Amino acid sequence: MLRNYLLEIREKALKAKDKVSPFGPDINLENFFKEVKEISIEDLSQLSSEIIENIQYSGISPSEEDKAGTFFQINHSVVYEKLHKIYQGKMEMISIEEALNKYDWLEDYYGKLVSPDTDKYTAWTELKPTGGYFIHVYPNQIISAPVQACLYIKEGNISQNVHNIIIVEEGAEVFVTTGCLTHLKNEPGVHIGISEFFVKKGAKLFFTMIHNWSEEFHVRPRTVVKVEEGGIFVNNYISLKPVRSIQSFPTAYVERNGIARFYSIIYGRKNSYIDLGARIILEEGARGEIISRIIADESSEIYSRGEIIGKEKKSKGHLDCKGILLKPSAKISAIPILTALNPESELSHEAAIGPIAEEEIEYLTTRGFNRDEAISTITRGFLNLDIPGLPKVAKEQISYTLAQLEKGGL
Amino acid sequence: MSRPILETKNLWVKVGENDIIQNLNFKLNPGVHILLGPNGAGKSTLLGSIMGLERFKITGEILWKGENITNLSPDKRFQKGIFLAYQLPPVVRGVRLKDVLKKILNINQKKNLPEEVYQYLKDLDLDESFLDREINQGFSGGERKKSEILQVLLAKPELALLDEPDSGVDIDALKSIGKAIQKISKECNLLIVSHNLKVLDYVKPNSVLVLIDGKYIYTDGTEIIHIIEERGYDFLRRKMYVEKLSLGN
Repeated sequence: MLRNYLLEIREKALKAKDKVSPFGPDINLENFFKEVKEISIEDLSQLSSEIIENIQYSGISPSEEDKAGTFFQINHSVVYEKLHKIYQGKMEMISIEEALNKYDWLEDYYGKLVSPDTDKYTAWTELKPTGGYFIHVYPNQIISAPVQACLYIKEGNISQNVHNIIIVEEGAEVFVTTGCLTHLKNEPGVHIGISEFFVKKGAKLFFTMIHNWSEEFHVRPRTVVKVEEGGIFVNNYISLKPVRSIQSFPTAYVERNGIARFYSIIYGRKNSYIDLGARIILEEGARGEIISRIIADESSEIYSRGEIIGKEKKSKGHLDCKGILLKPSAKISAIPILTALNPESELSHEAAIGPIAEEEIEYLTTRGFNRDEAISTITRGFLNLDIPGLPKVAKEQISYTLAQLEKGGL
Repeated sequence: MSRPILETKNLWVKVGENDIIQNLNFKLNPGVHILLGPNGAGKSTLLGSIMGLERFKITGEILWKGENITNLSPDKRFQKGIFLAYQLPPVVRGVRLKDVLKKILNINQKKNLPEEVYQYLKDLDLDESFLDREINQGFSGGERKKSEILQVLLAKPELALLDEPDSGVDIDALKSIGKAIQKISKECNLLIVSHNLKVLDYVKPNSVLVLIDGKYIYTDGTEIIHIIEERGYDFLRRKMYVEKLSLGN
């Protein structure tokens, strides 16, 4: 049954294998054909010291301390997956490949939110799948410790094409951190992440993704979320390292009285081309918020898209994009779109882009900060979004990542 | 006679293309001093120049207790004990009031603020929630003044330059700011720019300085205030020019 379904969507993918995405530079995926398998590990301590050091910048704890579970993929292989015994029976975390072998009912989820013929990247992932995770939280289970998933690339000239599915059943709650990164410096690579998240009635999914790619990497996440009645989805996205290009425009469909919030913190450096945004479609009484803080430095080019569609009455949405342009060679475009389809839908937006005012720096210097300290304090403070309701662990991850940036560790 | 703590020698200050301060020579003795002058006389420019704000292009010399500080950056002057409380402090995006207070107190950003901060907040009738707010963002005029005074209280500088701490505030705010300045005046030397002179209900200045056309400072006791109120700054300006002429300056 599932086999037939998978064949059908593969057919769909085949037809879209050359379909160019409307946003972001086009990538010739044929250049990234190499397949690199890795051997499994028993424990994260078996990872190389280079990887262990790096993953911490992406919020992944090598000691697995206070984590409900860990999923670790390197290149094209899932090398480690472990669920803490306290949470066994409350949730499941396995590779998508295993899940597809195990559950026929995945036909109701796989490829249902992100169609494989969306563009060449979704098609490529379907045609050349190389991993991804499946997280399933059972009804009414509160997973008090975060689940961590790491998607690591350590080989150049490859394309890591992962398909992730998270299902949070009715009344359940989970916090997921995903760190996507590489330690490579000059080798090119591609990471494509298809993510389909199902937040069932009254469920909560707090999702934090920290990207630490490198100057020659192209990244194409494709994410769609369905939030059922009264459900909550909070998405935090952080990217502070230079990257060749990132393009993503995740969408959340929010049903009655549900909530979706997208927060992003972006620091564009070197020649990074970053085209990011979020789209929220609101049903009756649903609420949505898209907040981004952007700094464009050196020759980076950043597009910040936001779209909120108020489909039904009493839906409420707000877009907020603030940017600092540090150099004239950099560029920021904020592109907010509000669409109201019901007279009782309330939508608003604010966007502001500017430099760090000399007056701001000067004020801090009169308070004892030297000029460099003043600039880094303003930069760090600007990016350190005070996100309401953000779990402590995510706040700590953001602070840690920003501190590394300040120290020059990233 | 006490040694001056601050001295300017042939001080010229340009703002854009305009010479706001022109060859100003004056000495500031320890104590509390009120700086008066008509609008545009250069009072805020003088305070900013003493603090070393980069937007003011300076020639001549500024001496701090005999040491030439003309080329020192504001943070170095802060370390030497000079503090400027702004007339209109700017919003600094992403920086909270408590971040600034910790820097002023020279304590690690991860550590908690000491108890005295909370006592001063209470004295100034400022809610504790201000500590977590972006500095000056959404603060009313009175709240900005209070935030500036709070910083002076904590900095305990050797010389505090207060730029119109009593303007644009309501009666209640004036009372708490006035009391705070009274406390500061017992611990620090003060140079206070004021237009409405309400601050005089709280401090007894050692002298009143009147800045004339960015060129001269007329120094007198508080009795000069009544003369200015009666006869205006023009009277003083003429008097000053006649005196200078008679001295051959």
